Formats: sequence, C-alpha cells, structure tokens
Amino acid sequence: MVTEKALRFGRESHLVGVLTKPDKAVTPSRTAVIFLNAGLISHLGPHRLHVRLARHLAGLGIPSLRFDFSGVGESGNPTEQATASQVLDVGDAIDRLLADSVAQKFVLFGICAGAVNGYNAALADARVSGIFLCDGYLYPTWKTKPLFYLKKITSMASVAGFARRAFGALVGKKDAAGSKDAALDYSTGTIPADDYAKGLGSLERRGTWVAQVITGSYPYLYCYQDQFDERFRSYGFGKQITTDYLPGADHTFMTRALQDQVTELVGQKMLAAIDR
Amino acid sequence: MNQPLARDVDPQFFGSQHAPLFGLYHDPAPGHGRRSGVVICPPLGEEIFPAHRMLRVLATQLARAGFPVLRFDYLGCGNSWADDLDVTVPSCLDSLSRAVGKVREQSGCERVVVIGLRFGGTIAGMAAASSPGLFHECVMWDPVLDGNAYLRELQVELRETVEQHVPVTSSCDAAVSRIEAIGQRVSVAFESQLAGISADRFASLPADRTVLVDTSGNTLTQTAALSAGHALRQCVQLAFPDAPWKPVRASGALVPAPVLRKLTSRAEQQW
Repeated sequence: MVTEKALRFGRESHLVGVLTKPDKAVTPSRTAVIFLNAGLISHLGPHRLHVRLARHLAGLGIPSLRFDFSGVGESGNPTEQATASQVLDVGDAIDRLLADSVAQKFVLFGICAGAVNGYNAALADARVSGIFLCDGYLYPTWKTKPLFYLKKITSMASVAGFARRAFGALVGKKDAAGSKDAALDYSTGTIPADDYAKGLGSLERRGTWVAQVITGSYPYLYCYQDQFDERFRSYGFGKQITTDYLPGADHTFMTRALQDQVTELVGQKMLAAIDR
Repeated sequence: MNQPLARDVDPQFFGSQHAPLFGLYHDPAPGHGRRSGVVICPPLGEEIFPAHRMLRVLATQLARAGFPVLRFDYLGCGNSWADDLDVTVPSCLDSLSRAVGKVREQSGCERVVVIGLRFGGTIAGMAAASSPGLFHECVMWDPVLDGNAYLRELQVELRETVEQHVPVTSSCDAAVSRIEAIGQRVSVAFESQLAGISADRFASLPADRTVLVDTSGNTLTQTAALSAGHALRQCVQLAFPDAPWKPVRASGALVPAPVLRKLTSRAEQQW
C-alpha cells in the first residue's frame, strides 16, 4: 500500500509537507520527486494535481514530497528573514529526504512560478538530477505571432468568443478579460533567452535533465510543437532537454481529463529517466 | 495581522490506517484553560483554495486565544486518502466524526465547537441536527442549504472557467459535460445526495447552539423564506455584507478580518 507521512522540516522547522512512499513490496526508485508551489497555491497543487501525481508516481515505485515554500500554504516564514529563499527551501527538502534515506537523486516539478523556482534551485543545487518545468520561461520565434493570429482568425472558438464579447458590449455586459481585475499581472517575469540557454546548458553538462511542458495558455508566446527547438537550435542541446507542447491544456490543468493527461506524461518521463 | 508560524501547526494523518485523513492541529497558547476544542470543516472542491488562507488565519487566532484547533480534509479531498469519486455525504460526515474524536483525544477537551464553511457548514449542520448534543456550538458559515442550486452553481462555474481558461479542444469538451467541481469529479451517488440537501435537513438543529454566518448575502435571504419557528431562523444570525472571502479571481485569497474577529471574540466569551 502507498503510504503518506506528514512532515515538518527545514532549517527552522518551519516547512510543512507530505511524503508519499511506494508500497513496501515495490522496489523503490532511488529518485524522488519534489513538488513545488505553483505561485501561492498550496502543496496540494492546482485542483489537487500534486496529490494525484504523487500517488500515481508512488504506484510506479517513485517516492515524492509535496511541500510549501516559506510563507506559503501551511509553512511559516523563517525568523531570519535573510534566509527566506525558495532555493534554500528546496535544499531543506532534499536534506530531509536524504536524512530519511528516501532517495539519492531528486527531480523538481513546478508549474508557473514553481517552474521558475525549480529552474533556479536546480542551477544552485547539484543534487537535482532533473526538472519538470510547466509553463516556465517561454520565448517566441519570428513565426509565433503570425501563427497565433492565423489560428485565432481561423478558430471557431475565437469567432464565437468575438461574437460573445461583441454582444456583451452591446448589452453593456463587461467581459472578464477586459475587466480591471483581469488586468492584474501574476506573471513571474522572464530572463533573456541567452541567459536561459546558458542555464540549460550548465544543467545539461552536469547531467541534469530538463522536461519542459508547455500548455496552450500563452499562445502569443508559444504556439507550435517545435518552437523551443527552433528558437534554441543554435545552442545544440541534446536529448536531455525535452519539450512537450500540450495545446489543449490550460496553465493549471483545470479539468480532470487534463490532469490525467499530464499525470500520464509525467509518469512516463519519470520511468524513462530514473536510474533504478 | 500576525503571520502564522508553521511551528504552531502539527501536520498529521489520523483515523483509519487504510484510509487516513489529513489534519493540521494548532496547539493552544498556554494559560487560558479553555474547555472547548474547535474543529474546522473546509468547503468542497475548488472552494478550498480561496478559503485556505483565511481558515489558516482563523485557526491561528483561535489557538492564540487558547483553543486547540483541528483543520482537516474529508476523505477523498486535500491530502486525505482516496479520490474524488469516493466523496459522499456519509463519508464527509464520517470524516467530521473522526476529526471530532481526534481533537478530543489530542486536546483532552470533551466539549467541541465546529465551524464549517460552505459545504463544510452543511456537513457540520447535518451532524449537529442528527446528534443535537454532539457540539457545544455549531457555526455554519455560508452553508449550502439548497443542494440543487449548489450543483447548478458548480456546473456554471466549471463551464465559465473552462470557457475562459482552457484552449478549446475535444478533450475539454468531454469534461465539461460531466458534473465536476473543477478538476474534481462528482459521483452519481454524491450528486444525488447533494440534490437532496434542503433547509428541511436542519429543522432539528439546536437553535440555541447554532450560529449562522452570512458573508455572501444569500444565506439569510434563504432562511428568511423559512417558517418563523425553523431552527435556522431561531439561531444566532451574523451578517457581514462587506466581508467576502471568495475573490472574483480564482487565484486570489481574501481574509475577512471582521468575521474572524467576531468569531474569536465569541469563542473567548462563550466557548
């Protein structure tokens, strides 16, 4: 039976998480996955995705830890504000998993801000052997905008959406996308493409694999399968840097069908990547 | 507002070994000698996300006032064991019953007060109505009093959210056609149980030990239509029209300070 244990850990015992372990009858993987907060969403993950992923991976023999960064979800802030850092929090999580002999290698999984924090933690901590970056940094090519507008024009949904907005405007109904509230910017910012490529290059040289999963939520930034490969071809990345484009998925895998899709994908990639 | 500290929280699994429930126990500040433990029942599905922060802050404030507090996840929800299709009204009532046992065991308090938000308020109210002596007080905060309306709300919310956020493909169309509390499926049995929820279920509530909190503007409108002698009309009613907890955007979180202050001061005086 898959087992779960609630943990409190960290340099000031201020972090809270849940460890999921495979059935004792299964030979456990030497690699564990660590789930990182998607922005301010708790360690459950968007729509409980991290819980489902953790239990799915445990069924495949892979342990995992889902936890909250300092000041997020159930975790408190360290009293020494100078040590408030997601990179240090990831280090604490790895220390704890090593101390408990859960695994020797560690894969980070992050969506949105979780992807950005995962990328930074992987660069800073050589114990990270792989990362899943879901909607992390996105870089368009010269083709992106023309393709985006072409798809928009030819999409029936767009036509329907345009008609809805036009009708809404006629009857005075404010569209959510045009409301003041919708103008709030939750983005995590970006870094120059060259810096991102250098970071990926250093991870690749170190033997850390990177699995980028890109959803259809930012079609103006990313809208076709080979976009990453075309944009970064000159850097000559090998097979350790992969990109899966899921145009039908939204940023937080909102429906159960989408969660099943990403769960299956992550499971397959972990099985392919781990060293048993 | 003081920042909650993780060291005040004891995360743990409890209940059956085969289907453990997840709970967060807040140790009471010493020196108050309170007689009641508090159990907080969360909402269901997507509503747990915007509600999380304020329930965490409420638990912290009650613990600082000397009350032992347990927050927990129903079976099939949050970190608790099982999956969404295992969630039913009886399973939620059973989870609450186990949480009550847990807070009694850990705190040593025999008296228990329950605070339930939305569907959590409904579950708390159903438990109190079926066993009037179970709780010292039952706080129902924006409870679901009309199950059919709640099911319609879930469907509309899912459809609107998916239309707004999910790129249209066939994989999403199928999901929208089912009842789903955004990412969490609702079983046929649970759907039928939800549809059976109405104010009648709460007629036997002990009115003198029931508090109705309305921050949505809907609850007291619904209860106003009930007969004057109905327990939900006779109980203490607290309205906070300007203290919403559910933000317009799904990714936000609000902490309605006036409600939390009122509940904490009521706790200090009466629990």
